[in-house]
Amino acid sequence: MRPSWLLPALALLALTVAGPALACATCGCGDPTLLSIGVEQPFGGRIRAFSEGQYRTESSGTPQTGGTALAEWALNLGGSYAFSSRWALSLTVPVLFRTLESADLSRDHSTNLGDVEALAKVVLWRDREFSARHLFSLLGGMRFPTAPLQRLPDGTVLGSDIQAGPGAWWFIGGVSYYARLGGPWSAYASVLAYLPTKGREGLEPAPTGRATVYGQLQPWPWLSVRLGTDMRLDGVWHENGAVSPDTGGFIAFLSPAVLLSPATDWVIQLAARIPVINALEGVHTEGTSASISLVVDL
Amino acid sequence: MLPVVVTSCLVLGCSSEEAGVSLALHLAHRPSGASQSGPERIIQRPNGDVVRLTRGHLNVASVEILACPSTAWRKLLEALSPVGTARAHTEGTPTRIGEPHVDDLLRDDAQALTLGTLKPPADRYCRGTVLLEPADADAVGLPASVPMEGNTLWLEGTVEPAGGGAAQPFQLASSSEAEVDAQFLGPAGSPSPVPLTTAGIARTGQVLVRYDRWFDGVDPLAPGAADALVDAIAASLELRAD
Repeated sequence: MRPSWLLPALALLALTVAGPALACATCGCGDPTLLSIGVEQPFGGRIRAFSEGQYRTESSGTPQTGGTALAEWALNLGGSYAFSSRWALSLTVPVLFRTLESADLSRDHSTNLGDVEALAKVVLWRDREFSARHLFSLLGGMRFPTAPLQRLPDGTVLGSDIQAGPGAWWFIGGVSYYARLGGPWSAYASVLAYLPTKGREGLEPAPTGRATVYGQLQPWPWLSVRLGTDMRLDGVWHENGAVSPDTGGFIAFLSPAVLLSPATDWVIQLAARIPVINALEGVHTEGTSASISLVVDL
Repeated sequence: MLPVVVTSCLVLGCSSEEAGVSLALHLAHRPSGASQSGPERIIQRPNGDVVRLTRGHLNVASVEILACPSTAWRKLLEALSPVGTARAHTEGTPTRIGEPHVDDLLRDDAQALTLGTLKPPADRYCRGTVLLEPADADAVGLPASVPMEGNTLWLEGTVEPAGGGAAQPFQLASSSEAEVDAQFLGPAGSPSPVPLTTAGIARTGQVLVRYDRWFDGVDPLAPGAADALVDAIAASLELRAD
């Protein structure tokens, strides 16, 4: 089910939430770099709202073992608020539209809220208070089990592959480093660990680690191009005490992106994630994903 | 109204399902002659002896369906596919009913025993394998009246000699195993693949028990008759697609 209204909804949301800026965000922190949500330099009172549309695919198992293919459209809404130049809090609320196709040609569709994630960022060190060129931050937060348990109209609980969340609480911790390298260049790196509690319906999700590294070139004030990598190392999940097949392993993506600023304090990001190393356990592949997002400083 | 629907979808979730392909499998008694019912089954051997079965149970351990052989073009596509196509056997797979069922041979021939419904990968299915092996304690339909657990076959009856004379009783039990690989046959008895290639298709297949053929080459009074019967039963099984 492709939500054809996704792009208009993104634009409408942005227009709705974006009032006239009192002062440009660049002026507030002295950093003209076009940045995604969560990467920006915090300063007291900085508010950013974002909406993102994302499409991704994933398949696991073989036809003989009941393999499935998932297609997911996600509408991620959220924002961040900086309480000071030292710390900020961001919130992401995903709405998921999923279709799971099995080898027997049956298809399950689901539309629901995903797991809401809150992430705090504490700047541990910056080289100078204004127009900083180096920021080293501590990240910590929680992913909440807000995705409802999916059932068919007759009450049957759908399989774990179509569920938008395992029903677990995820503790998040990590670090990030942002650098303005001089001229049009900047770079960002982060490492995050997700540590889950037990889920529902016998699901036991496993810890996962995520890393992001990228370099960014901004030849003009209104345009940036970015190239980097996103990596993920997953533990093996268990279901009802048994190993859940085709879970766990490592995957790395090449992550190009283009960031445009059509107006002051507006950033539109077009991004893709192309799997380049797939060392996931069993028969498990993830396809190229694409996203478009809009970030507005309020 | 729309906000209520959207909110309930987000909080409670909205889901729907489109059916795929399926094949319901049944076990049916199908003698060559008239169907039988009642307290015994009467079978005439080629030599004229008459076998009367008064009790009988057979354990069908599993039924697996097999896709038709790949064409050259399809083999090429599979070779190019990045997704593996392992064909390992497991306890439960989309193409295999692994739950054992004990068939009561005195069940009315008109009544079929439901083995289960497969939801296999979309394909054309030409063949199937039926495995006969000893029943375990979890077998569906395990009888309490006879010691079927640990046995594949348990039979009781009499043989009336063709030339006359007293009927000879027999009681046979076997724990031997046998597997048959058979083609799906159509109503006319000729090979007929089962096409399960379009979403929403629900077909029915039957494992036919031809009990009138069991004693064609096996004398139930002869030594080793029990194990020989398991092989004869396996050889007589047929797969039909409706």
